[in-house]
Amino acid sequence: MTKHITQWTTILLAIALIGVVSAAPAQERQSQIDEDFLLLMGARNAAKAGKHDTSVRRYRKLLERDPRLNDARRELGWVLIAAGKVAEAQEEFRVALHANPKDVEAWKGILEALRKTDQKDEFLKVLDRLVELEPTRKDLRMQLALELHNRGRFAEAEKHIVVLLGE
Amino acid sequence: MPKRMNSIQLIRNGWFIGTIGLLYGAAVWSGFQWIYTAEIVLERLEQAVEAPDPAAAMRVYEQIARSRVRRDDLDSFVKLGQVLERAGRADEAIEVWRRVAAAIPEDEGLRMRLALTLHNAGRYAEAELHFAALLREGPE
Repeated sequence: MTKHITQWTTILLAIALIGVVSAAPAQERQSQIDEDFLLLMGARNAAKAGKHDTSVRRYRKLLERDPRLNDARRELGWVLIAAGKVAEAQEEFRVALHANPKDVEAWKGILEALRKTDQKDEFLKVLDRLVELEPTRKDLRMQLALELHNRGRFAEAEKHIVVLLGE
Repeated sequence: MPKRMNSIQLIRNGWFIGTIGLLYGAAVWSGFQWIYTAEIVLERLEQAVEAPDPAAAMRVYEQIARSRVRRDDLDSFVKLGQVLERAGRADEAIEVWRRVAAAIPEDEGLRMRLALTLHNAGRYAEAELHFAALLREGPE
């Protein structure tokens, strides 16, 4: 009889122990966040919210922490264009191109900056470079053909029109 | 003639005790299933590889969101926020993250989730308040 009581006591104690362990309060949660990611998302959000100065400040802080973030640098360039700071934007795109001369998105940023400042000759050169980097982009080639045509450079425009028409 | 057992003998019989134990276990298990139905469905929705069914997510939301957010038991709410986001119910997910972040204001990760969900829902001005707080920026 005593043996049975001991067995039951052991079983009940084991069950109670499992219950106590499973019902123990969960550990206090305190998650860490990545400061770079926070700055990037904060900068993007501020740009979307129309707070360009705040966005630029956050992008600059992020790039101070890690200057290799070329995507962020290009985004900063576009925010600067939206804020009307075209010269600063151009500078950021040039830094991005210095790191990667074949960065098509940075070339597009420079193209936009040149278009805004009406630097026609430089605009044409950059457009030509973009067509070279992205030969299958018909819209860019068409734009280049039109620019050349409008400047009376018909022979050069003709080459691109032939490509566009698949002749 | 078979011998009849009195009640003491019946209780001492191992089969009787075993049957009662099994019935008790089944009752406890059924009760657990009944009480935690919403949590069980939520667990399944969270573990599903494909995007959760929005209707199922909303049913769970309506059941769980009624309860109070407790600091020491946030798991259900965190899972609920994630499931609602994946089910495309941004407004409800924002409400969940807002409550969770209010329950533990010092947890920056939760506030970040709220800010990101607001951002992804296109509510940039509201998200901005949280990003500014997380970046410890003063008023402009």
